[in-house]
Amino acid sequence: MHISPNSAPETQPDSLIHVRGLWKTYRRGQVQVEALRGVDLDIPPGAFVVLTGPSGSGKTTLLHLLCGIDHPTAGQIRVDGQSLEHASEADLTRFRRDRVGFIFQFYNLIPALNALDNVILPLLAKGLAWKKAAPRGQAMLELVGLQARQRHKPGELSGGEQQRVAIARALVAQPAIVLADEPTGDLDSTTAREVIQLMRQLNQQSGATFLLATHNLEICQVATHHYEMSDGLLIAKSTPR
Amino acid sequence: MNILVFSRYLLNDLRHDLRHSLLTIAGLSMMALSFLLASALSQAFREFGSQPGFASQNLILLSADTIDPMQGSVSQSTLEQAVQAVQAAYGPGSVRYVAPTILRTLRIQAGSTVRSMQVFAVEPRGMTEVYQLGLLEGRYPTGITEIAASEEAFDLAGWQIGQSIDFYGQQFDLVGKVSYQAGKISSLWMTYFAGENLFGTRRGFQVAAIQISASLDPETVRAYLESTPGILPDYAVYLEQEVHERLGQAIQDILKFTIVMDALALGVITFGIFNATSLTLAERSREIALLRVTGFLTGAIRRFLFGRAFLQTLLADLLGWGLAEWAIRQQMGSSFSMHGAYVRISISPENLLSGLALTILFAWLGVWLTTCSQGRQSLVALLTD
Repeated sequence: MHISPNSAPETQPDSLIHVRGLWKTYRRGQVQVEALRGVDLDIPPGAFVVLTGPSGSGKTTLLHLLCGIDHPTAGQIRVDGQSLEHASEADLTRFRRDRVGFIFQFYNLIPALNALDNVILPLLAKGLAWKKAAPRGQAMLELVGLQARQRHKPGELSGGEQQRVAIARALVAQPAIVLADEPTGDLDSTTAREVIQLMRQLNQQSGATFLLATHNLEICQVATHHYEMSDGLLIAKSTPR
Repeated sequence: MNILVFSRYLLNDLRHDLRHSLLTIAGLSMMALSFLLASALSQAFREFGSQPGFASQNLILLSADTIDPMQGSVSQSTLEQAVQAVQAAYGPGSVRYVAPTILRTLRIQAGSTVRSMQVFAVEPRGMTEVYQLGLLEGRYPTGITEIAASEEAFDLAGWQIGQSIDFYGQQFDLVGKVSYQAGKISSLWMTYFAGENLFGTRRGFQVAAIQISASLDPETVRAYLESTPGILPDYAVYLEQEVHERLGQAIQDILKFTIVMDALALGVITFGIFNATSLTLAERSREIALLRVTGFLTGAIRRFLFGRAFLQTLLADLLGWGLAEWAIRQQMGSSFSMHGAYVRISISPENLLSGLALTILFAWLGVWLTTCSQGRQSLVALLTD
């Protein structure tokens, strides 16, 4: 892992996520906001990375850029060997489909679909038949402890259960990277702890790299790597485990 | 996504928001209904206006001072004067037959509906020689309580030959079904004497048909007659075709109106479908963005959304079609008459298919334009909307 906000770092050969000189600016009314101001980052495969920092420090923007749902103003992003900065929308969609799972703070499940149908969406996007996708979805729901709730729609599930469904959806296609934006932000503390333990357990079982943006410093206890952001820059790192 | 999974997700999606889905279908079906009714009406009037012309050697003498010839009256002496003038100019054999005709438009109770029909009272020979009726079934009326009716009148009223019909408290026996070369007119035919017996003799006859020899040019004879002293300015002479063209012209004026209605209905259905589709998708931009985040390519999302819009539109079209057929049968009786002009309304396969094609096209356009617009927006912006 490498962090160097002030000088050009060397590329780490074993990096799964490799970021250099990443800038993101956007306009908010008449004001130009610099959300990221030259971020360099290298994350190895299998890590459980926690990104903390105050609101507006650039955590969410960084996650969005890493999963290709937003475009950088400048800089390089290479994730699992694929450069994202100049990729087309279609290429970015394929990249997300094949390599990334994303967990949102507010779950973002599709209300019309039951838990199982929500979970297997990434498999269907890959073109898998229902008969092949459903058992994998059921196995994933079992892993997050929701096998009995697979026919329930999001509106019939608690916040914690919905977030478990979202985690199952993020992992069902066996992505190399799982990005989570405030995954416990909408949960009570007990449920939040359960969800974090679950993600850590899945990280260890699947070998997928997890990168979580959070205000919850408690999560840092289970992280392999901890980054802190402020004003669009990575200002500190530690390796708790 | 294969077709089974596609259908499963499609139905789940529609069922999830059933009330909204049904309201959308109901709203769209009203648009389909208005389009189908307007197009059926304009087609009916168009068909009436495009009837083939017919050749006739009949000159029709009418009162010149009435808008509706049925309100006028032609005196026996004027008719005799006109006939003598033609014979004097073109020879004694120039007039083949003269048929004084009592003419009325009556509103007749036919089943549960009141229909307007033209009633012609003319001598039996006049029916065949002058008006060139064709006997389709039964026989021509000869008695004072007998009538024949055109096939259009039969269709409008649902009568049967042998049936007894009541006019102004008098019972008439329906003895024949006839065709009338002048076009689709719902008409009743009785003898002149029967007409006088029914309507009285005070107003005499309204029309005098003078059939001239086949060797003469009706236009030339008409011009001559109009220059004869005693005809103008009190009377007007028409070719028989012109009399029916006047009725056709009235229908054509209505047709212009129905074409405007048709165009409006077309605008309502196309932009309505487009608007309904676009709004639905705009409301669900976050879900659509989520599918993109999950890895669905725009083409796959577009196919899904179009499938959804297609299903809604198809159901709305079918419902609208059913309602339109019901409205035509129950409220209009499939056909009606205006001053005797027989107009038959039906939803033609062409109108139905063009309506279906247009709605599907605009549903697709709504999906395509909305997804193009959303495709240009940042996923982050759509997700945080």
